[in-house]
Amino acid sequence: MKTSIVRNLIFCGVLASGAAQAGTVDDLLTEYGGNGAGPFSAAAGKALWSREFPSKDGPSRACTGCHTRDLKKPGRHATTGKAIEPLAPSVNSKRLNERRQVEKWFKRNCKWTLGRECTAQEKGDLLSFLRTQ
Amino acid sequence: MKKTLISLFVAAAVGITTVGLFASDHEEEHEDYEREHSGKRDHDHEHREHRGASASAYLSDPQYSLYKTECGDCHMAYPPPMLPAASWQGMMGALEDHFGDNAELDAATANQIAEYLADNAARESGGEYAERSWRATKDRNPPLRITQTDYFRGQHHEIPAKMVTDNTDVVSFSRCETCHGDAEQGNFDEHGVRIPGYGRWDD
Repeated sequence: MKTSIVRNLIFCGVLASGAAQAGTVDDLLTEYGGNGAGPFSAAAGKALWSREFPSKDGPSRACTGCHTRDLKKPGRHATTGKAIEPLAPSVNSKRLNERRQVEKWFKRNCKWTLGRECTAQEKGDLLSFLRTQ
Repeated sequence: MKKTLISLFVAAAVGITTVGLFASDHEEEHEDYEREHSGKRDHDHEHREHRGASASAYLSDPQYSLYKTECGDCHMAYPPPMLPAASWQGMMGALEDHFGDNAELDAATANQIAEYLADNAARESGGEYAERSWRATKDRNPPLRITQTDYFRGQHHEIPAKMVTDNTDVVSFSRCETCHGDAEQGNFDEHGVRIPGYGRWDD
C-alpha cells in the first residue's frame, strides 16, 4: 500500500515536471511564432545542433562540442572542464521548464557558438528537437 | 612571508578550523598589516562599514544561492573574498566576454550578483579572511584572474605542470575544486589537498 502511494507520488511528480516543460516550451514556441517564425522543425533543430561554426580564434564550434551528441549523457564545458548536466528532458526534469533559463542559455551559447544570437526560427527548431530527447 | 602565503586561503566555511589555523601567526601578520597600511587609513574608512566579520559570511548571505546557480553552472563558484570589489565590478561589467566565453545575464540578475560580490569581496577591514585576501590582492591594478595574483603564484609556484596543466583531470589552475575539494566553502587548507592521479601534496 505504502509502496503504491510512493509510486503514485513519483508518477505525479514526473507528470507535473513534464507538464511544466511542455507549458514552457509551448509558450516559447508560440512567442517565437508570433515573431514571424515557424513552422518549427525538430529535424532542422537536430541539424543545427551538430552544425559546426568557424570561430575567430581556435577550432570550430558546435553545440555538441560541450553537450556531446548524446543529450542523455553529461557534457563538459569546453574551457573550464566542469560537468554539464544532461540536456535531455527525458533524463533531466530540470531542463526546459523555466523560460528565463532557456532564454539565458540561448543568448549566451548562440553568441559563443554561432557568433551571433539565434533567430526565432532557429530557437524554435532547436526547442522542437530538444523536447523530443 | 611564505608563512603568510601558505595560510592565506585556509578554511573559511569551517570557521572553527579557520580560527585555529590562523591563530599562531596572527601577531606577526598584524604587524605587517600595520606597516603596509599606515599611510592609507582615511582612504579605507568606507570599507569598515561593510558587514562580513565572519570568515564564511559569503556562504550565509541570502544571495549566495543565486550566485552559485548563475556563476557556478560553468565553473566553481569562487569565494567572493578572493578578489577585491574593484575586480568583481570589472568582471560584472564585461560578462559578454568573460575570459573568452559569453556569460551574459539579464540586468536585474547581474545587478543582484554584483551587489552580492561587492558586499562579500576582499576588503581591508571586514573579517580576517577578507582582510588577508585584501592585503594579498592590493596590486597596482585590480586583478581579474585569481590565478594571476601574487599570492596565488606564491602558493602554487612549486607545483609542476605535469600535476596541473598537463593533468587531464585538472587542466587549469582555475579549477581549484579538483585538488581543493572544499574550495567553494573557502577551505584551501594545504593538508586537504588531493591532486588527481598524485594524491597528497607535501610542501
